[in-house]
Parts: sequence; C-alpha cells; structure tokens
Amino acid sequence: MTPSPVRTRMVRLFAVALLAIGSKASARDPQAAFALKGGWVECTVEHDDRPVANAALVILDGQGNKFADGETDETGQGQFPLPGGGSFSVEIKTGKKTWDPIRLVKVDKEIQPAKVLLSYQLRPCCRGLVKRDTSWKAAAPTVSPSDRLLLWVIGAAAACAVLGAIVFVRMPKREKFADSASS
Amino acid sequence: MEDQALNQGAPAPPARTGNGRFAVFAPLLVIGLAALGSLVGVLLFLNRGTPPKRDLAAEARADLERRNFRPLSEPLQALLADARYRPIPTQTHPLLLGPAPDFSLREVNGGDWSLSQELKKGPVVLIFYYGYHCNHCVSQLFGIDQDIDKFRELGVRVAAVSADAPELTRERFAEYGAFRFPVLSDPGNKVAEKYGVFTPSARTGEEGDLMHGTFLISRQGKVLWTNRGDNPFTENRTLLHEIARAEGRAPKK
Repeated sequence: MTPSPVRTRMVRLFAVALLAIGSKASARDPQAAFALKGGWVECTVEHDDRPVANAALVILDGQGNKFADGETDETGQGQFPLPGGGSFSVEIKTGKKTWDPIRLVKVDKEIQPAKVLLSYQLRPCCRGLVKRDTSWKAAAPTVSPSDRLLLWVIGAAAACAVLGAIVFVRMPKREKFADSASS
Repeated sequence: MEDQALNQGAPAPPARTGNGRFAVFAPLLVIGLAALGSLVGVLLFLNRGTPPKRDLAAEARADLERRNFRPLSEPLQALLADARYRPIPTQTHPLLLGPAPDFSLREVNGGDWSLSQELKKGPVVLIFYYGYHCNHCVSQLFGIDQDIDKFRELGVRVAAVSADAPELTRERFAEYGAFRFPVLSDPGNKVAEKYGVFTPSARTGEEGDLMHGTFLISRQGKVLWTNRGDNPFTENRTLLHEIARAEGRAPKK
C-alpha cells in the first residue's frame, strides 16, 4: 500500500519540524579548546560536537601585534608556536563571522582557559548603544480583547440606533401615511 | 354580502396592510433593537471582570521552561560524578583569570554587601540581571533560587546585582516572594560597568547597553568563569561543576 501524497507531505513536514526543533535545541556557539604540546599551542575548534575545518586563526602577542595566522584542518585543529611573554590572544573566524578575540595565558604547563565558548561582539566597543530601560514600570492599562469586542458591539449598536432614528425622522410623509394619502 | 358588494367597487388600500406599515415600523424596530443591544452592552461592560494582573513570577518561570531549565533533583555528589556531563566552557572576558573588582553595595534588606568580605567565607557567584523589568530579566534568579541548596552545599555565596532600587525590589519581593540569596542595588550600573556588562551611552537621554552576566569568583578573588550576553545563563550545573573543580571537590574520574 502506497501512502497518500497528503500523508507523505505531512510526514515530511513533521520531520522538518522535528529537525528544526532539534537543531534549535542543540544550537550553541562554537567552542575552542587550547592545549600546550612541546612548546606549541594546539587549538581545536568545534561546533555542536563536530570539528570546524578551515576556521581562520589569527594569533596576537601580548602587545596586540600579529604573531601568526593559519587555518584549522579537517579535524578542527590548528597549531602555532607559543608566543613569548606567556599571554596572547587568538582571533577565530568561521565563515563570515569573526568571534571575539580570546585572551589566553600560560600558567605552568597549561594554557588557560583550556576551553572557551566563543562569543560574538560582546566587546563593549562593538555593541550598539541602545536605550534599554532597566527601571520597573507599571504595566500601562490595557483593554483586553474581550473588552475591545464588547466596546465594538456597543458602538455598533449605538450607531445603528442613531442611524435608525435619523432614517425614521427623515422618512417622507407620503410613505409613512401612504394609505391615508391614497384614500 | 352587502359589504362585499360595496367593497367590490372601492379601490384596494395599497399601503395600509403592506409596505407602508412595514416602512413605519421597521426603523422603529431597528432603533429599539439597537438601543436594547447598546443597553445590554453597557451593562455587560460595566459588569466585566477586572483584567488579569501581570504576574512576572509566572512569566519568569515560563521563560525558564522555554530554556529547558530543570531544577537539579539529584544529590550534589551524583551530579558532580556524572562523567557524561560536559560543563559549558567559560567565555573570554578581560577580567578572566584576573582579580575581580571589589565593591560594596546596598542589600535589599538595608545592609551592606561587600565582595571582599564575602570571599573570606568562600567562592562567589555574581549574577548581573536587568532588574524586575521583564520575564527573562529575572528568570535566572528564579532558577538559582530553586537550586540554591546545592550552591550552599558547596559553600558558595550567590549574589544578584541590578540597578533596581532596594525599595522597588522589596515591593517585588512582597508581590512575588523573596529570593534566598542577597539581591543588591547598583545605582547607575557602576559595578556592572566594572564587570563589563554595562556600557554607558555617550548620548544624553540614553542609559546605555546592559547585558546579562554571570561570574564565578574563587575565594582568592580570581575570576574563574564568565558568561555574558542577551540571554540569562540558566545552566546551574555548569556553575556547580566549575566551583567544585576550583575548590578541589570534584570527584576523581
């Protein structure tokens, strides 16, 4: 028995909806992990547990000067020598999005933070300054939909009454008393 | 018979029983019905129930639901021992791994709350929220309140900061219930600015840009973990994991 086209379409729609819900639930910003191996820093970029290949990496030294650049491979990894001074930044670009630069420090034999959730435009300089009122305001008195409907009914009825009265007053006499006129 | 004969000669009355009478009474009927309708409408309007009052606590709980927030029901040790759980990593922040700026603010109940004093007792989780303004502005606080016993078990102090005046927060507490952790008033978002969650506007008449912010500060006063953004951070389990790790209380794996 072959499923009807309508049923097939509904199953497809349901599957698409499930996928959409699933992808929304798992959507989190990418992460970058850092590890120090033999004087080199290993950077791994992941998104939803999958490696991000071809992510552009720009490494800046402690003074903010460009130290190195490159791309992650198919395993999401990229290596670069540890910049001198112990503190440095890594700027990651995936697709067209350049994430906020990550400030890293060498502590003993580790890079800290070892794992970072990438953020986008959280630097105060990059965010649009918009008025976001932080004070509490009592909710303005609003008319509920049922009240609004009731007001419309009252208005319409009143308008009918007025129109009816006008029609009645302006009605020609000969129609009103057609019988007496004709007799 | 005589009448019939008489009537046969007279013309039939054209309007008395037909259109003429209808034309007279139809408008009257419409007017009457409309007047009655408007009277009933006015009576219904006057007797309508009062509109439902806005319940910010219910809205905040709905916001938590939307974010798949579930109170942590398992014992703390079981939560920390779960090897399958992967805590959400910290975001980058200029203060990360550096000293947390010290501050002292007024508590809702009138006392002063000082970061340096609290750090003497244990690590601190600092939450910057928008104030009692919208559902997601306070939802994180409702979420923390549900898991506060787990934080206490780890010896962590939790404090929430917003620009709301203490009097205003007290009013909201009376309305929706108080939280079981200190709620501090930061007039002008001065502390929020120090923590990079508020940027004052250069233009007059504009307040500036505020973000949600969560900071985990070690008892040594070092910022260990941060999260900022337009959404509240509601993954309390991650905070507990990070604190346990910092305090050396994470189970060995």
